This record gives sequence, C-alpha cells and structure tokens, in this order.
Amino acid sequence: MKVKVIAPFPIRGLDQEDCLEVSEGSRVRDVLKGSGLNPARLLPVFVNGQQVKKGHILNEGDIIVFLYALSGG
Amino acid sequence: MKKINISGEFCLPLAQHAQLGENTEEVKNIVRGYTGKILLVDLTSRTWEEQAIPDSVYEQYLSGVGLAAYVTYHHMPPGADPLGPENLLGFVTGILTGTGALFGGRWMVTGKSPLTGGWGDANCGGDFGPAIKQCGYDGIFFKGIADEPVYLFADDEKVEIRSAAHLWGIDATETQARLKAEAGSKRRPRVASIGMAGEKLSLISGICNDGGRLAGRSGLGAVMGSKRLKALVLAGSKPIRGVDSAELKRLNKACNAYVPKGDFRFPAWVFPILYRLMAARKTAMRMDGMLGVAAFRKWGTTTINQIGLVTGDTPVKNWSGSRGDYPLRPVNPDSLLSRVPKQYHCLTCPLGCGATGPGADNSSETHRPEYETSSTFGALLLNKDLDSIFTINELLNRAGMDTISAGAIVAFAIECFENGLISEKDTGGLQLTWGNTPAIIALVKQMIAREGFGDLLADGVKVAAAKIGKGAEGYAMHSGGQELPMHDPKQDPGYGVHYIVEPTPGRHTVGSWGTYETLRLWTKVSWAPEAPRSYPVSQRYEADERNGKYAAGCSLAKMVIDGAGLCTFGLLMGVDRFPIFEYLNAVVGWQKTPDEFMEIGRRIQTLRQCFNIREGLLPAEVRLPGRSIGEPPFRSGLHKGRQVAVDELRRMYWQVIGWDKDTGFPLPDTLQALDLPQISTVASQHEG
Repeated sequence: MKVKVIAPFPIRGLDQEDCLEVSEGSRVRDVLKGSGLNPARLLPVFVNGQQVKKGHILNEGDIIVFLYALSGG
Repeated sequence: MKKINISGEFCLPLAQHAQLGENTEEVKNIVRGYTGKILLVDLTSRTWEEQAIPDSVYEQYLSGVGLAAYVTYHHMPPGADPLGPENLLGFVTGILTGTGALFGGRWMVTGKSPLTGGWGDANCGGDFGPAIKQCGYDGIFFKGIADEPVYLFADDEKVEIRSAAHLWGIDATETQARLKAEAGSKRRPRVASIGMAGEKLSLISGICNDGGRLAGRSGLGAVMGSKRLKALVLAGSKPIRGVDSAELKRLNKACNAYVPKGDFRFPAWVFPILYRLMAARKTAMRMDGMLGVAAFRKWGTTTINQIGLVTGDTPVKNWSGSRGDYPLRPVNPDSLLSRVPKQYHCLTCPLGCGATGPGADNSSETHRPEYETSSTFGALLLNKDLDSIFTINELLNRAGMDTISAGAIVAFAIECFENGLISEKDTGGLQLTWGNTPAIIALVKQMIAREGFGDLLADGVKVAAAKIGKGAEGYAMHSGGQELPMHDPKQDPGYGVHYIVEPTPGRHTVGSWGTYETLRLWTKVSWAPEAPRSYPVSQRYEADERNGKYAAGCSLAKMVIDGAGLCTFGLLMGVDRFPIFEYLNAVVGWQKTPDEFMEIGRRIQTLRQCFNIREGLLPAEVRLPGRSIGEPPFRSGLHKGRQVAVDELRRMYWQVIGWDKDTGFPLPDTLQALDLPQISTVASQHEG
C-alpha cells in the first residue's frame, strides 16, 4: 500500500509524489527505517491531521507529516 | 475558539449565472465570487457613484490588488500628490473572499504610497474583507478630501458619509468599538479605521481592524488621514456565492485533510537546537510548508522567533550584529503563548495563527506580537524585555503605526545616538542606547504623538536620515523608502531580490527561496523549475536563471493570491494541496490553466511596475543597504563572508518576467503580450 510522507529529513524510497510503498500493517516507525540517526526523527508526527505515536498502524493513503518549524516569514 | 464553516453556500448553477449578463443590472446575489461593481466616493463633494466593472477586467486582473491596480491606473492622474485629493485610496477584496473557500478572508488597501512614491498596497485579515463584498462591491475607492473628519457607512440599502469629528484623536481599537455601538444598523458592522498615526499623517501608518490587525505597509494610513477619512463601517448582508458549490466543497474537504487538528505538547526551544545541528551542513533540504502547519497553528508567526536568530534570518542590532549579541530566551514562542493563550481565526481560516490575551491592565484584550514585531522590538534593538514588546505592540496597534517600520526607525535612531550623530539635546534627554527599554517605549510614544524627536522619526528612516544628515543614511535600513522587514537576504538571498524588485519595495511577504520551495509551483505551472529535494547551500547564492525563475514564480503567484483574496500562509501548504487555481475556476466558472493564472499575475505585476515608472520612479535606482547583502562582508558570525549578488539576481528576475534587464522597464513585447497597449508608451517616453 502507499502512504504519503512529509518529513524534514530524507526518507528512503520516497517517489516524486512524496509517496512511499509500505507493506500492510506497517507502523509509523517503519517509515523511519533507513533515515539514519537524524535527531529530527524524535519530532512529533501527525497522520491525517491527528497526532499519533510512532507505533501507530498505517492505512492506505495516509498522509504522514512530521512536526517542524519553518524558517523564514 | 471560533467555529469555521468550510462548506460554503452556493445555490445558482452556471446556466442561471450566465443569464445575468455583463454586470449591467443590479446583482443582488454575488454568484461568481465577484460583484462586478465598485463604489467610487468623492470626499470633497461628499458624493458617490457605483461603477460597473466588465467581466473582461476580472478575466485579466482577477480582483483584489489586480482590480485596484487597474482602477487606480485609469482613475488616478499621473503625478498625484500621495497626500492630496487626487490620490485614490482603495479597499478591495479578492475573488474568493467570503465565498467559503478556505483562507479566503483577506482584504487589501491600495493607493499611491507616500512612503515610497510608487504603488502602495497592504494586506490584512480578520473579518473585514467579506464585509466589503457583502455591501455589494469588490472595492470601495476614495478620492478628494473631506472638510471635516468623516466615516463611510454602507449596508444593503444605503451609503452615507457621516461625521467622525467626535472620533478624531481616538485610537483605532476604541474607534472600532464605538462605531460598532453607534452605527445603528440591524447587522453588526465590521469596521476598519485609522488611529492617531494616520490622523497625524505619519508616513509609516496603516489601517486597522479587529482591534489589533493592521494593514501596515506602504504608509496608506496617512493617505486615509489626509482625506480626513477616519473609518469604514460596513453592515451589508448580501450572500456571496460561487458557481460550482459541489467542487468548492470537495476542494475544501481535500485541503482540510492536510490541516493538523487539536493541540500537541512539544516545547518550542527544541527547534533552535535542531536548526543549529542542521545549519552545520553544507547541503540544504527543500522545505515543505506542511511541516510547519501544526507549529504555525500553535505559535503563529512567533514560531520562528528563535529559529530566525539561530539561522541568521533575524537581523540583530540594526543589521550590524550577530547571533551572540542577543539571547534566545526573551522571545521564546512558549513565553508569548503563555501570556496570550486564546487562539483566534480569520474568516474561513483552518489554522488560526492569531492569539489574544489580557492586556497589561487586565481590562482589555491584547494581541500576540507577530514575529516581525517581536524581532524589530527585540533583537533589532537588543531589547530583552518581553513585557515591553507587548506594551509597544499594543501602543502601535492602537495608534495604527506599522511595527516593522517603527522598530527599524528606533534602531536607526539608537545607532545615530550611539555614533554621536544626535545627542540628548536632540532627543529631549532620551538616552537612546541599545536595549534601553524605557527610552525605547518613550520614543515610540513620541513618534505616535509626533512630539519632540519622535516627530522627526514618524515619517520613516529615509526622511529622518535626510533631516539628520551627517551620514545618517548609512544607518537607514530601507529599500525605496520602506523599512526592511526582519528577514536577512544573507541567509536567504530570495528576500533580497524581492526587497528591490517589487513595486512595493521592502516587502517580505512576496517571496524567498524558502517561499518558492513551499509554494510547489512546479506541480502545476509548466515553466516553474522543480526545487531539488536537497542541494548545496551555495546554490542559494547563485545569480542564475533558475533563481530568477524562483523569484518570478513567487511574484506572480503572490499577485494571483492577492487577486484571489487568500492568505499567504494558506499557500504554505503548496498549490497542489491548497489548490488555488482550482478554487478560482470553481467559484467563477472559468476553465483557466495554472499557466494562464500566472500570466494574469504577470499582467498585474507589470501594471504595478508601469504605475511606478509613470510616477517617475526608476526601478534600477532602488538599492539595498550594504549590511543587508554583505557589502562589505561580515568578518565574523553566521554571515561571515556571505555576499548576495542582488543586482545580478534582479537582472535575472527582470529578464524572466519580460522587463528590460538593465532598467526594469517592461519591454514593448511584454506589454503587447499582456494586452497592455495603452501603457506601452510609458517605457518609450522614459527611453526617449
């Protein structure tokens, strides 16, 4: 299944549409595999607008967004 | 928290809409986003007339700033005194304003700027925008000068010019409260007004609504003051509709899926640490605005208070300092939030970046200072007293004075004082030293009242520097007369380009490289280059065609955003997730492509540029102060050695947009392509 991931650090396997192919039953923490030791991995995460824990089970079409604060105005 | 209706109200299908024709008859219901009418008020004669605007104008200019540029260019005689009767002061809404489209609550004020001498506009939110349209107009324009202070009242049935003599001298917040109470309308009116700064013709004054929101830039509060127009009181109730209600609902629902819901617990101080770690890298990651939406919901623009200091985005000590000169703690977003915890939304905004809380005396409400205000009255002055920032914010909101310009002027004055250009004799005993909070507050009060040394400063740094002389211009941080905002081009050179290419110079809300990345224009616009997911930081400083296209993309998109009446912050999500082009088509019933909308943006931008040239401004003469672009290079700190080739970047921008790369004059071919033949003589007159 495909989920959309928006993160402030590289995610392995992300396509041009920010989509990632994951297996059924995958959790948010599985998306982070291969993203190295970037401290931004500790950031809160939202799935479809709701804050969830890293153990949250994903569904087809979920939009996963990590909390960050943009620089600039 | 205010409930948000994201469904909108639409009833007329396209077939019925088409029968309404070319706006020549009274249109009681606004069925395609725009009304097709403006109200033109002559304050000298106290008369007013409605003018029909043909559909073709909306096709070419949208509404909002585009409509205002069209109307002003054709109604205002060239060379008009900005503070004289001929200047045309416009209050306009965008096509999507009030239709139920998310983020569609903006209004704009326009006219010839007394601060820059060219095109002026300023943008504001709250609930005033739809009120203009609910009275049946896409814009209300004023010319002339009233013989006494007046305010305009309008509702569904009537337009009246009423005496405001009893309100002259009253601050903007109190004025709004009194007018809402005394309007005598069935419907609760919405009010926009000037405060004392506009009345006293301060060239850095703006126009306020909602007791603390300010259309602050371009000095248009002074234009309103010069016309003795204290306020607009609008109590119309005309429904605002669009053509395709089902599509609008679908777009709202799809967009809303991206918006984070609820609160979250996470301390703001973590972000500067993360940024510090990332700043050490030589590779930049493309920014995605979605990442910042949740933070923005919680802390508003103050989210970046500390990040800006860590990255070097925030200027310190009148742009001469560096990170080590100012601590992070005073402007911690959580500290601000704890004082003003009540989140509020502008109309149809799902984010709600505003916040209010009890004022200093606990008897009134005060707004959270924005990032710009926190920085101009914080790091720029080395002022570490957060209480004073709240106090000054409230003073300036009530006076209707732009906090960006006001802070820049105080910084200018301090540097003049520290370097001996002025003394206590000039300042009336004020010790204008860095971080001297009582002196800063006292000076702000003087500027508002136009008393003592404050009178000299109340017209901006350019005017003040000319009066002081002795090389004071070296401390005057402005572009084309307008004080620079709190984003350093040495950190993001895109800001530098927009500070000098925009017809309203010194503007931070149009673009930067970070803005381009978040807009994601490449997902919709054929000529917009895709920003790579990661790239060398050095690429940001290159004066190449790619960066020229980035800047042009931001400018043209901003014209579409302002023509639509949308909040720029909504576009943080990107044009693929917040589908601005599809929204416009759904509401008006157009079938335009994103490229066609961007071409409309180019037309609006070009007409604004032509306005400036007609008014005698030469675009190539607009310069940025050396400090802002690393001339000479800083020897230490975050910006050590960084230089911004802003002139070359500007040439790239002009070339991409179709203006002469050396002069900034729109090329004849460009004018022809944009169907602007009537002003094609402008460039040739100057060339001759």
